[in-house]
Parts: sequence; C-alpha cells; structure tokens
Amino acid sequence: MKPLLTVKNLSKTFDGKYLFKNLNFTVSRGERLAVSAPNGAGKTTLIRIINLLETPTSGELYFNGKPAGDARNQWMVRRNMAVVFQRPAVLNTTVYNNISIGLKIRGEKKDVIDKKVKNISKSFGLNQMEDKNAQALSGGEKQLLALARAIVLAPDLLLLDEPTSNLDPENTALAEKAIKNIASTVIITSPSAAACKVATRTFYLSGG
Amino acid sequence: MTGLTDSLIGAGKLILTFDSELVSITVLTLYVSLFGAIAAGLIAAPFGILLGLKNFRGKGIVVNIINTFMGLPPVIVGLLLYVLFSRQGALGNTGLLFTPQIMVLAQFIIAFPIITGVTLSAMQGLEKDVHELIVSLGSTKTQRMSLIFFEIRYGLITAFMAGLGRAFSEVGAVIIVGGNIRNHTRVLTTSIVLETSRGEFEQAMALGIILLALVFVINYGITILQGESQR
Repeated sequence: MKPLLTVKNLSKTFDGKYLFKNLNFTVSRGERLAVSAPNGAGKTTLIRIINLLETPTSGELYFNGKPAGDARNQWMVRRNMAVVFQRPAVLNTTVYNNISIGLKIRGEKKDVIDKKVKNISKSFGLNQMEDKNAQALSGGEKQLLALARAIVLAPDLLLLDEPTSNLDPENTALAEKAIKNIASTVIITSPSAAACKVATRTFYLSGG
Repeated sequence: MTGLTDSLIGAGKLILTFDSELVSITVLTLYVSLFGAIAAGLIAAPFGILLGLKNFRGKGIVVNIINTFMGLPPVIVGLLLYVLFSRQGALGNTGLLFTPQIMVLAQFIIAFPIITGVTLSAMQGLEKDVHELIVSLGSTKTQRMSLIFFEIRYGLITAFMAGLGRAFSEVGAVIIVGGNIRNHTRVLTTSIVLETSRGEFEQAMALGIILLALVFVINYGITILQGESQR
C-alpha cells in the first residue's frame, strides 16, 4: 500500500545553520507517529512544512504519492489535513463558528455541520460554551477547541504540535482518548517520547 | 447668546416644517457622501487587504503614498478634477463638471486612501497565527479573502466610518467641482458656508443641525451593526 506521506531528503536551514538535514521517512495510513525532539530542534517547523505553511530549504514531500508542494493545488492538499499548534489561534467569533469553520470551507451541509459540531463539542466539554466568543476562552479551552476543530474534519492526516501542552491532566487524558479513537493518520510532536502516549511509532529528531 | 437662541429656534422651525430646499440639500448630501464612500469602500477594502497580504518590491513606497494621500487636501482634489473636467480639460467633453456625479467622484478620491489606510492598519493587526489558521484549513483564495474580511470586520467598519465621516464633512472639493448650484449641486456643507457668508444664520444653523444628526444616526446605526457582529 502507498504511504500517505513520504518525506524525502528534507532539510531546513535558518541563518545558514541546519535545523534538520536530509530527513527521510514515510507515514502509513492509520499510523500515529510521534516526533520527539528537544525544544528548538525543528518539530514545529517540520509540522509547518508538512502543512505547506513553510517551504523547506531542500527536499520533497509526497502526499498520497503525489508531490505536495505545487503552489496551485496546495489548498486541495491541505483539505486532507488538519493541524493543531501548540499556541492555537482562534477566530474572533463564537466557539461554534470556530469548530464549524473547516466544515463550512469544505462545503458541508448545514444540518451535517450542526450534528458534527454538537457531537464533537460535547465530547470535548465545549457544549456549554458554544455561543461564547472563542477569544474569551482560557489557554486550555482554546487548545481543546483547536483539537475539536481539527478532529471534526476527520482528515486523512492530523498534524498535532504538542497539542496537550496547555492542558491539565484531566483534559490531557480526554484529548489523548480522542486522538486514539480517530481513524486519521496522526503525526504528533512531543518534547519527550515518554510524554507521547498515543503514538504507535516514535521518530527522534536531533538538531542539525 | 440671544442671536444663537434665535438662530436655533429658527432652525428648529425650518426643520419641523420640512423646508423643501432643506430636504433636497439633505437628500443630495446623502447621495453624494454615501455613494462616494460606499464606492471607495468596495474597492479600497479589498485593496487594503491585498496590500496587507502580499509582499512585493516597492510595497513600502505604495504604503507611504497611501499614508500621504490620507491627508490629501480636498481642495487639491477639487482643483485637479476641475482642470481635468473643465471645458478645456482632457475630460471636458464628458460634461460632468458641476454635476452631482463629479461630486461623488471627488468624495471617492478623498475617501479611498482613508479606507485603504485604515484597512491596511487592521490587516497589520491581524495575527499571523490567525492568517495561518485560515490558510491551513484548506481555504481557496476567495474563501480566504472572505474569512479575512470577517476577521477584520471591526477594522473595516472603522475604515468605512472614517471615509464616510470625511465625505460628510467635505467642503473644498465639492464646492469647486459642484459649484454650489441651488437645487442642483448644493450640499449641506457648501450651503452652510454660503448661508453663513450671507448672514443667514438660522438657515446655516438648521443645516448644521441636520448634518450633525445625519452623522449621528449613521454612526449609531453602524455601532448597532458592530454590536450585532460581536458574535
């Protein structure tokens, strides 16, 4: 079976220094790959490159066997992915609108959106605050919202950059359970391999 | 003090009796200012957003030009349009000089850099994270633009209000290109100038009250709109 994601000879430099060099790996469908590395080793940059938010210095990315970097169809590639960053951004609107935005972009019908959003917000304990402006949420609540917004899309590839860093132990367990239960392929970054309990495989990224 | 009181009483009478000239001046003011500001907003807001999104060589110069034009003296706009549209001018054959249409064009030119500049400032306030979120969701270019429009909606409302406020208070350009012709191109501001110079303070005061009321009602309406869009 074709791997979902293939990374070939990927390098990224900052100020002439290699953040990582000649990275090669594949991710199969259904796999949950943890990328473990100390801070500043390039975990976030790797996630950003895979999500096509940043261009690598060299190397190639293949998504579903096709080159992903072509500027003309980047938005189509991104529609098969969802990403949650360590410091999640929220739109200046309600929690409901924030969770549903990806579904609206994908042209889902209103009743389908409504059903999916109700279900996910309930499972993340956000159902009581659907009408609240997302900017008024705490850091932990925003992180849960970002996870809900990504998971509701049921993407082929879910990219998670230290997604539980702002969460208390209870919500961390809730998030980990949700990540384990989804059918998507997952790439999750973590500063330590031990901290990443959801992974089926771990990949160590050492600087340079 | 008595003079002011008399003027206010006289102004109140003119307003309450729906003086026909007063009504036509008010309607023309609304037409010229609203059309000028709305037309400017329709082009300036997307332009400001694109300017905020794109990086290109010479962007600094473009931004500097816009900032400079935000303080563009309206009389200069009026003068340029007059020269361009006067009988000997390049566009003299259009016959637009001393018509409400050219007054709309003048308002457009005056409001455009203001709306662009304030929109650009709102774009600069848009967090990079939020922009990347919109991109990472797989939005098309059109969806991205509409989401950015939504995200900076308060900034856009402020931009439009600034443009409209300038259009309402404008005298210099519209008096030059419109000519302040009775029942044709006379608007509130130009009438106030005329009536004051004539010593017709009651009329000038009535016009001033109406102008203030118009600005108040429109601003109040926009404030309510802003409140509705808080959600």
